Amino acid sequence: MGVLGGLLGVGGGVFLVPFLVFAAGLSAKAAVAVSLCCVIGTSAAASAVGGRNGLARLDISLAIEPALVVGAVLASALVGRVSDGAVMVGFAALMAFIVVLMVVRRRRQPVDGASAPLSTVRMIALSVAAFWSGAASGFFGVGGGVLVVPALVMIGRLPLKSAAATSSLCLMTSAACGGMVHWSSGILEPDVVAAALVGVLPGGFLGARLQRRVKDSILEKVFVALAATVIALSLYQGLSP
Amino acid sequence: MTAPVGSQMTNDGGAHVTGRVTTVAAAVAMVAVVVMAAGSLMGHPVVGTAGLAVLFAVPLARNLAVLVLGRGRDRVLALVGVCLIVVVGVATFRHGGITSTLDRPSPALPTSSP
Repeated sequence: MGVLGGLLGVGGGVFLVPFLVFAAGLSAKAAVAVSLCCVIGTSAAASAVGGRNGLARLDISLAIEPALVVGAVLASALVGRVSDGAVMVGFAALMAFIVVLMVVRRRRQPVDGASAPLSTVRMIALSVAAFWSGAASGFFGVGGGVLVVPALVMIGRLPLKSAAATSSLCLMTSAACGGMVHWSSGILEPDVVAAALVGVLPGGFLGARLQRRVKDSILEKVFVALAATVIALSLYQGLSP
Repeated sequence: MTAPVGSQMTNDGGAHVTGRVTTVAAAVAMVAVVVMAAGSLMGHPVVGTAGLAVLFAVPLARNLAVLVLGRGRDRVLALVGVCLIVVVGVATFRHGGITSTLDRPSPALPTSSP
Protein backbone atom coordinates (compact mmCIF):
# COMPACT_ATOMS: atom_id res chain seq x y z
CA MET A 1 0.00 0.00 0.00
CA GLY A 2 2.90 2.31 0.79
CA VAL A 3 4.51 1.61 -2.59
CA LEU A 4 1.23 2.38 -4.37
CA GLY A 5 0.68 5.54 -2.35
CA GLY A 6 4.21 6.80 -2.95
CA LEU A 7 4.18 5.75 -6.60
CA LEU A 8 0.91 7.50 -7.35
CA GLY A 9 1.57 10.48 -5.06
CA VAL A 10 -1.70 10.11 -3.17
CA GLY A 11 -0.39 8.89 0.20
CA GLY A 12 -0.92 5.47 1.68
CA GLY A 13 -4.35 5.97 3.26
CA VAL A 14 -6.27 5.97 0.00
CA PHE A 15 -5.33 2.32 -0.55
CA LEU A 16 -4.60 1.31 3.04
CA VAL A 17 -8.18 1.78 4.26
CA PRO A 18 -9.76 -0.51 1.62
CA PHE A 19 -6.91 -3.02 2.07
CA LEU A 20 -7.47 -3.19 5.83
CA VAL A 21 -11.21 -3.61 5.32
CA PHE A 22 -11.24 -6.11 2.45
CA ALA A 23 -8.01 -8.06 2.99
CA ALA A 24 -7.36 -7.79 6.73
CA GLY A 25 -11.04 -7.88 7.72
CA LEU A 26 -11.00 -4.82 9.98
CA SER A 27 -14.12 -2.77 10.48
CA ALA A 28 -14.23 0.44 8.45
CA LYS A 29 -13.82 2.61 11.56
CA ALA A 30 -10.83 0.62 12.84
CA ALA A 31 -9.25 0.84 9.38
CA VAL A 32 -9.73 4.61 9.36
CA ALA A 33 -8.07 4.90 12.79
CA VAL A 34 -5.08 2.73 11.81
CA SER A 35 -4.68 4.61 8.54
CA LEU A 36 -4.60 7.97 10.35
CA CYS A 37 -1.74 6.72 12.53
CA CYS A 38 0.15 5.61 9.42
CA VAL A 39 -0.36 9.10 7.96
CA ILE A 40 1.55 10.57 10.94
CA GLY A 41 4.57 8.37 10.23
CA THR A 42 4.56 8.74 6.45
CA SER A 43 4.04 12.50 6.51
CA ALA A 44 6.82 12.93 9.09
CA ALA A 45 9.20 10.93 6.89
CA ALA A 46 8.12 12.68 3.68
CA SER A 47 8.32 16.15 5.23
CA ALA A 48 11.87 15.46 6.38
CA VAL A 49 12.85 14.97 2.73
CA GLY A 50 10.89 18.04 1.60
CA GLY A 51 12.22 20.12 4.48
CA ARG A 52 15.84 19.33 3.66
CA ASN A 53 15.25 20.15 -0.01
CA GLY A 54 13.83 23.56 0.91
CA LEU A 55 10.53 22.73 -0.79
CA ALA A 56 8.25 22.73 2.28
CA ARG A 57 6.68 26.02 3.41
CA LEU A 58 6.68 25.83 7.21
CA ASP A 59 4.93 29.20 7.54
CA ILE A 60 1.98 28.20 5.35
CA SER A 61 1.79 24.80 7.04
CA LEU A 62 1.61 26.35 10.50
CA ALA A 63 -0.98 28.88 9.34
CA ILE A 64 -3.45 26.33 7.96
CA GLU A 65 -2.92 23.66 10.62
CA PRO A 66 -5.57 24.98 13.07
CA ALA A 67 -8.25 24.66 10.39
CA LEU A 68 -7.01 21.18 9.48
CA VAL A 69 -7.05 20.09 13.12
CA VAL A 70 -10.56 21.41 13.78
CA GLY A 71 -11.86 19.64 10.67
CA ALA A 72 -10.10 16.39 11.56
CA VAL A 73 -11.27 16.37 15.19
CA LEU A 74 -14.89 17.13 14.31
CA ALA A 75 -14.96 14.48 11.57
CA SER A 76 -13.22 11.90 13.77
CA ALA A 77 -15.82 12.47 16.46
CA LEU A 78 -18.57 12.19 13.86
CA VAL A 79 -17.36 8.93 12.34
CA GLY A 80 -18.16 7.09 15.57
CA ARG A 81 -21.82 8.02 15.13
CA VAL A 82 -22.33 6.63 11.64
CA SER A 83 -22.45 3.05 10.39
CA ASP A 84 -19.54 1.23 8.75
CA GLY A 85 -21.58 1.02 5.55
CA ALA A 86 -21.99 4.79 5.42
CA VAL A 87 -18.23 5.20 5.87
CA MET A 88 -17.54 2.88 2.93
CA VAL A 89 -20.09 4.58 0.64
CA GLY A 90 -18.58 7.95 1.56
CA PHE A 91 -15.12 6.53 0.87
CA ALA A 92 -16.26 5.49 -2.62
CA ALA A 93 -17.51 9.03 -3.25
CA LEU A 94 -14.22 10.48 -2.01
CA MET A 95 -12.26 8.17 -4.33
CA ALA A 96 -14.33 9.35 -7.30
CA PHE A 97 -13.66 12.96 -6.30
CA ILE A 98 -9.93 12.25 -6.02
CA VAL A 99 -9.88 10.78 -9.54
CA VAL A 100 -11.45 13.97 -10.89
CA LEU A 101 -9.02 16.13 -8.91
CA MET A 102 -6.02 14.16 -10.21
CA VAL A 103 -7.09 14.62 -13.81
CA VAL A 104 -7.68 18.36 -13.28
CA ARG A 105 -4.36 18.71 -11.46
CA ARG A 106 -2.40 17.07 -14.25
CA ARG A 107 -3.92 19.40 -16.85
CA ARG A 108 -3.03 22.57 -14.95
CA GLN A 109 0.13 24.43 -15.88
CA PRO A 110 2.77 24.57 -13.14
CA VAL A 111 3.03 27.90 -11.34
CA ASP A 112 6.05 29.59 -9.86
CA GLY A 113 5.44 31.07 -6.45
CA ALA A 114 7.52 28.94 -4.12
CA SER A 115 8.73 31.77 -1.89
CA ALA A 116 6.18 34.50 -2.58
CA PRO A 117 4.12 35.82 0.35
CA LEU A 118 0.41 34.99 0.35
CA SER A 119 -2.32 37.58 0.67
CA THR A 120 -4.71 37.43 3.61
CA VAL A 121 -7.59 36.53 1.30
CA ARG A 122 -5.66 33.55 -0.07
CA MET A 123 -4.73 32.42 3.43
CA ILE A 124 -8.40 32.52 4.49
CA ALA A 125 -9.41 30.58 1.38
CA LEU A 126 -6.64 28.06 2.08
CA SER A 127 -7.83 27.68 5.66
CA VAL A 128 -11.37 26.93 4.48
CA ALA A 129 -10.02 24.30 2.08
CA ALA A 130 -7.81 22.97 4.88
CA PHE A 131 -10.83 22.55 7.17
CA TRP A 132 -12.57 20.31 4.64
CA SER A 133 -9.35 18.43 3.92
CA GLY A 134 -8.96 17.79 7.64
CA ALA A 135 -12.57 16.64 7.81
CA ALA A 136 -12.01 14.18 4.95
CA SER A 137 -8.83 13.00 6.65
CA GLY A 138 -10.51 12.41 10.01
CA PHE A 139 -13.59 10.76 8.53
CA PHE A 140 -12.00 8.52 5.91
CA GLY A 141 -8.47 8.04 7.25
CA VAL A 142 -6.81 9.37 4.12
CA GLY A 143 -3.90 11.75 4.49
CA GLY A 144 -5.85 14.65 3.11
CA GLY A 145 -2.91 15.47 0.84
CA VAL A 146 -5.02 14.54 -2.16
CA LEU A 147 -7.16 17.56 -1.25
CA VAL A 148 -4.60 19.87 0.36
CA VAL A 149 -2.12 19.67 -2.53
CA PRO A 150 -4.61 20.86 -5.18
CA ALA A 151 -5.72 23.64 -2.79
CA LEU A 152 -2.12 24.76 -2.27
CA VAL A 153 -1.55 24.74 -6.04
CA MET A 154 -4.80 26.40 -7.08
CA ILE A 155 -5.34 28.82 -4.18
CA GLY A 156 -1.84 29.18 -2.75
CA ARG A 157 -0.23 29.20 -6.24
CA LEU A 158 2.60 26.98 -5.02
CA PRO A 159 4.49 24.77 -7.46
CA LEU A 160 3.36 21.15 -7.29
CA LYS A 161 6.48 19.84 -5.55
CA SER A 162 6.41 22.62 -2.97
CA ALA A 163 2.69 22.01 -2.38
CA ALA A 164 3.27 18.28 -1.87
CA ALA A 165 6.11 18.93 0.61
CA THR A 166 4.05 21.54 2.49
CA SER A 167 1.05 19.20 2.72
CA SER A 168 3.26 16.48 4.21
CA LEU A 169 4.35 18.99 6.81
CA CYS A 170 0.88 19.98 7.96
CA LEU A 171 -0.97 16.67 7.67
CA MET A 172 0.86 15.01 10.56
CA THR A 173 -0.83 17.38 13.01
CA SER A 174 -4.37 16.80 11.78
CA ALA A 175 -3.75 13.05 11.57
CA ALA A 176 -2.40 12.98 15.13
CA CYS A 177 -5.35 14.91 16.53
CA GLY A 178 -7.84 12.82 14.54
CA GLY A 179 -6.03 9.65 15.63
CA MET A 180 -6.25 10.68 19.29
CA VAL A 181 -10.02 11.07 18.97
CA HIS A 182 -10.26 7.57 17.47
CA TRP A 183 -7.97 6.34 20.25
CA SER A 184 -10.36 7.63 22.88
CA SER A 185 -13.18 5.61 21.33
CA GLY A 186 -11.16 2.43 21.87
CA ILE A 187 -10.91 1.23 18.27
CA LEU A 188 -7.16 1.70 17.93
CA GLU A 189 -4.85 -1.30 18.33
CA PRO A 190 -1.10 -0.52 18.64
CA ASP A 191 -0.13 -3.93 17.22
CA VAL A 192 -2.07 -3.31 14.01
CA VAL A 193 -0.65 0.22 13.74
CA ALA A 194 2.91 -1.08 14.21
CA ALA A 195 2.46 -3.78 11.57
CA ALA A 196 0.96 -1.32 9.09
CA LEU A 197 3.62 1.36 9.71
CA VAL A 198 6.51 -1.08 9.37
CA GLY A 199 5.21 -1.94 5.89
CA VAL A 200 3.94 1.45 4.76
CA LEU A 201 7.00 3.55 5.67
CA PRO A 202 9.65 1.78 3.54
CA GLY A 203 7.00 1.17 0.88
CA GLY A 204 6.34 4.89 0.65
CA PHE A 205 10.03 5.65 0.13
CA LEU A 206 10.29 2.92 -2.54
CA GLY A 207 7.18 4.18 -4.31
CA ALA A 208 8.46 7.76 -4.33
CA ARG A 209 11.72 6.56 -5.93
CA LEU A 210 9.90 4.46 -8.52
CA GLN A 211 7.69 7.43 -9.37
CA ARG A 212 10.56 9.15 -11.21
CA ARG A 213 11.04 6.15 -13.51
CA VAL A 214 7.43 5.58 -14.55
CA LYS A 215 5.60 7.76 -17.07
CA ASP A 216 2.80 9.98 -15.75
CA SER A 217 0.34 8.60 -18.29
CA ILE A 218 0.93 5.04 -17.05
CA LEU A 219 0.58 6.16 -13.42
CA GLU A 220 -2.70 7.86 -14.21
CA LYS A 221 -4.10 4.72 -15.86
CA VAL A 222 -2.96 2.55 -12.95
CA PHE A 223 -4.54 4.93 -10.47
CA VAL A 224 -7.85 5.11 -12.33
CA ALA A 225 -7.99 1.28 -12.59
CA LEU A 226 -7.24 0.83 -8.87
CA ALA A 227 -9.62 3.61 -7.89
CA ALA A 228 -12.42 2.03 -9.95
CA THR A 229 -11.82 -1.29 -8.17
CA VAL A 230 -11.83 0.37 -4.75
CA ILE A 231 -14.99 2.34 -5.57
CA ALA A 232 -16.81 -0.82 -6.69
CA LEU A 233 -15.71 -2.83 -3.64
CA SER A 234 -16.51 0.01 -1.24
CA LEU A 235 -19.98 0.48 -2.70
CA TYR A 236 -20.59 -3.27 -2.53
CA GLN A 237 -19.42 -3.40 1.10
CA GLY A 238 -21.31 -0.25 2.06
CA LEU A 239 -24.61 -1.09 0.39
CA SER A 240 -24.77 -4.82 1.17
CA PRO A 241 -27.03 -5.58 4.18
CA MET B 1 -3.57 43.85 1.22
CA THR B 2 -0.63 41.57 1.79
CA ALA B 3 -0.03 39.74 5.02
CA PRO B 4 3.48 38.91 6.15
CA VAL B 5 2.51 35.25 6.22
CA GLY B 6 4.90 33.47 3.95
CA SER B 7 7.50 36.20 3.89
CA GLN B 8 10.05 34.58 6.15
CA MET B 9 11.14 31.90 3.72
CA THR B 10 12.44 34.57 1.42
CA ASN B 11 14.81 36.38 3.72
CA ASP B 12 15.86 34.67 6.92
CA GLY B 13 16.91 31.16 6.19
CA GLY B 14 13.48 29.69 6.97
CA ALA B 15 14.29 26.67 4.82
CA HIS B 16 17.14 25.82 7.17
CA VAL B 17 14.81 25.92 10.17
CA THR B 18 12.25 23.82 8.27
CA GLY B 19 14.88 21.19 7.53
CA ARG B 20 15.85 20.94 11.18
CA VAL B 21 12.34 20.78 12.61
CA THR B 22 11.21 18.19 10.06
CA THR B 23 14.23 16.09 10.95
CA VAL B 24 13.16 16.26 14.61
CA ALA B 25 9.65 15.11 13.65
CA ALA B 26 10.94 12.24 11.53
CA ALA B 27 13.27 11.13 14.33
CA VAL B 28 10.42 11.07 16.86
CA ALA B 29 8.26 9.13 14.38
CA MET B 30 11.00 6.55 13.94
CA VAL B 31 11.30 6.16 17.72
CA ALA B 32 7.54 5.65 17.91
CA VAL B 33 7.59 2.96 15.22
CA VAL B 34 10.47 1.14 16.93
CA VAL B 35 8.74 1.27 20.33
CA MET B 36 5.43 0.07 18.89
CA ALA B 37 7.12 -2.72 16.95
CA ALA B 38 9.01 -3.77 20.09
CA GLY B 39 5.79 -3.77 22.10
CA SER B 40 4.10 -5.83 19.43
CA LEU B 41 6.94 -8.37 19.29
CA MET B 42 7.11 -8.63 23.08
CA GLY B 43 3.35 -8.89 23.32
CA HIS B 44 3.41 -6.08 25.85
CA PRO B 45 0.43 -3.71 25.43
CA VAL B 46 1.90 -1.03 27.71
CA VAL B 47 4.98 -0.67 25.47
CA GLY B 48 2.83 -0.63 22.34
CA THR B 49 0.57 2.00 23.85
CA ALA B 50 3.60 4.08 24.83
CA GLY B 51 4.76 3.90 21.21
CA LEU B 52 1.36 5.06 20.04
CA ALA B 53 1.53 7.99 22.47
CA VAL B 54 4.96 8.91 21.09
CA LEU B 55 3.53 8.74 17.55
CA PHE B 56 0.79 11.18 18.51
CA ALA B 57 3.48 13.45 19.99
CA VAL B 58 5.29 13.80 16.64
CA PRO B 59 3.62 17.09 15.63
CA LEU B 60 3.99 18.35 19.20
CA ALA B 61 7.74 17.74 19.01
CA ARG B 62 7.92 19.49 15.67
CA ASN B 63 6.02 22.54 16.92
CA LEU B 64 8.19 22.70 20.04
CA ALA B 65 11.23 22.62 17.75
CA VAL B 66 9.77 25.56 15.81
CA LEU B 67 9.28 27.40 19.11
CA VAL B 68 12.97 26.91 19.89
CA LEU B 69 14.47 27.31 16.42
CA GLY B 70 11.97 29.49 14.58
CA ARG B 71 11.39 33.21 14.52
CA GLY B 72 8.62 35.78 14.68
CA ARG B 73 5.23 34.74 13.38
CA ASP B 74 6.26 31.11 12.94
CA ARG B 75 6.80 30.83 16.70
CA VAL B 76 3.38 32.31 17.44
CA LEU B 77 1.71 29.90 15.01
CA ALA B 78 3.70 27.01 16.47
CA LEU B 79 2.49 27.99 19.95
CA VAL B 80 -1.11 27.94 18.69
CA GLY B 81 -0.44 24.46 17.27
CA VAL B 82 1.03 23.27 20.57
CA CYS B 83 -2.02 24.53 22.45
CA LEU B 84 -4.38 22.79 19.99
CA ILE B 85 -2.54 19.47 20.24
CA VAL B 86 -2.39 19.65 24.05
CA VAL B 87 -6.10 20.49 24.29
CA VAL B 88 -7.07 17.57 22.02
CA GLY B 89 -4.64 15.26 23.83
CA VAL B 90 -5.91 16.16 27.29
CA ALA B 91 -9.53 15.88 26.16
CA THR B 92 -9.01 12.41 24.67
CA PHE B 93 -6.96 11.31 27.70
CA ARG B 94 -9.79 12.35 29.99
CA HIS B 95 -12.17 10.51 27.69
CA GLY B 96 -10.17 7.34 28.18
CA GLY B 97 -7.56 7.34 25.40
CA ILE B 98 -4.86 5.22 27.01
CA THR B 99 -7.11 3.17 29.24
CA SER B 100 -9.38 2.36 26.29
CA THR B 101 -6.45 0.70 24.55
CA LEU B 102 -5.11 -1.10 27.60
CA ASP B 103 -8.31 -2.28 29.21
CA ARG B 104 -10.72 -3.21 26.47
CA PRO B 105 -10.60 -6.23 24.18
CA SER B 106 -9.57 -5.12 20.73
CA PRO B 107 -12.48 -4.31 18.42
CA ALA B 108 -9.85 -3.61 15.72
CA LEU B 109 -9.34 -7.33 15.22
CA PRO B 110 -11.00 -8.91 12.18
CA THR B 111 -14.73 -8.84 12.50
CA SER B 112 -15.80 -10.30 9.19
CA SER B 113 -14.34 -11.89 6.13
CA PRO B 114 -14.72 -9.94 2.88
